[in-house]
Amino acid sequence: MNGNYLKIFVLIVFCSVFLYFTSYAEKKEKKKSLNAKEVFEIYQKGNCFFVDARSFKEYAEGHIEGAINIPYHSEKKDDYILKVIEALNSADFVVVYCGGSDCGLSKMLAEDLLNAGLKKEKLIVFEEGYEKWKEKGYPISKDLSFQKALFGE
Amino acid sequence: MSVYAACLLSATEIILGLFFLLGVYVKETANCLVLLNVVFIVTMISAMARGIDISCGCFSSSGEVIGVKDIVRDVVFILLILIGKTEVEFGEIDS
Repeated sequence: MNGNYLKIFVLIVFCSVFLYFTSYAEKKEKKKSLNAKEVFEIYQKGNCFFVDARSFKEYAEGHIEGAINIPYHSEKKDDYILKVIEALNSADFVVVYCGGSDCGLSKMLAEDLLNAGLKKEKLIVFEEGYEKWKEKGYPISKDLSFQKALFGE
Repeated sequence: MSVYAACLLSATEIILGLFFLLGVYVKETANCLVLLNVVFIVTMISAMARGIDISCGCFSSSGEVIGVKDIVRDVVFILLILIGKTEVEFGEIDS
């Protein structure tokens, strides 16, 4: 009985190692990631877009000043991306963020933006996210007018 | 490390699924599958309780947020696994 468990376990480990060394994900180039201070320097220079990947509710409660919201879990996500992709490509940098370092939404949204045609050299994933930005006392806002003007909501 | 964890989970699901379908080590495979589904349920409840906005990643890439229906689905899977295991134990299916 225990021998069978061991056989299953060994086979799973063998297969997972095989998958790991042949996986596409491992070979992919990592996206640029900066800390809060470096992102703030970019923010100060201007000509950049901040994209909030959290839900609209979280965005409405507070976001990085000037950021637009493309909620990763929204059904309208792809429409939003199509609407803004040209504008995003016209900026020097596009900073994608979400709640904080335990949040993968920004990375997943960044992947979608790249697939939609965003130039890789412009993309920055702000992994420390909104919480760190707020903690540092950098500009935040609850203003939704930019979002409404862009997406009509 | 996260990539290896993803590979380990995928390999676990593929091997256990194939073994269960092919009737190889059915009882052991069934126990592992039940354990795996319990882990999924606990993880989803933990994520929901903490308000973490994540998608299940099950069956499609729609990115829909996890909810009660995902937990119910896993409970149904556990019941189906237990039915399969019970049938083998009573000799209705040759393993």
